[in-house]
Amino acid sequence: MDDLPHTESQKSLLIILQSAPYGNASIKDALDIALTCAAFEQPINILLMLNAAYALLPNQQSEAIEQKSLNKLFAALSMYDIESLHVSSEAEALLKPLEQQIPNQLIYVDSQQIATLIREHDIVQRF
Amino acid sequence: MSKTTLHTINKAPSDISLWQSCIAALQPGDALLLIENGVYAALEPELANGFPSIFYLKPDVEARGLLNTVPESLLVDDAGFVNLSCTHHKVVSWF
Repeated sequence: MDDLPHTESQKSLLIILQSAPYGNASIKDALDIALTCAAFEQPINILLMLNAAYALLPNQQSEAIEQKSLNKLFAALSMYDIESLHVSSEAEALLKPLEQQIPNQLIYVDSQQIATLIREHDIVQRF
Repeated sequence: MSKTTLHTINKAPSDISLWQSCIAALQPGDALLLIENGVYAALEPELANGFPSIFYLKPDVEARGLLNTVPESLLVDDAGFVNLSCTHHKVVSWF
């Protein structure tokens, strides 16, 4: 995988999500950071691995636990030019059948590709 | 500077999925610094010997009674931690 094209004033950011959603705010916080960086035109990639893959399940109705549904937040990413999400290949069995209902384009990556993603970004932040 | 990474991990090896994810991400030239409960990996030979550039943060090793288990050449103090951070392209924390 090549370096992301970027200018002197840009740093490429890889956000790695690995916590399950709703138990804590880490996914929401991470996406807020992604949107902020995107608004400042920094190249961003998002990788979901381990329990964070659950954040892509459709039909999350979170009103009763008084939290905002992550479905809407993920749907908003394309408005900030974050068109695709990397997802670790362990989640493919779970998510592939649901792709019609997931607003984002999913790119499945194995552990070697994940290692390459980490190497090629200037900043890697895990949540 | 070639794009090597300093990885830090602060959980004990019983956090299997975290350790597996971390190890899978290690590339040639990367270093792994064990901090906090991560230093308990000293008691697991497969992990302790499984990767060429492993270091242990000394105060965390001492606190946990592991000084006799970790070779002195692999102990790093805070200044060494800073040095490791500066000699790699970036730091990725596994927690």
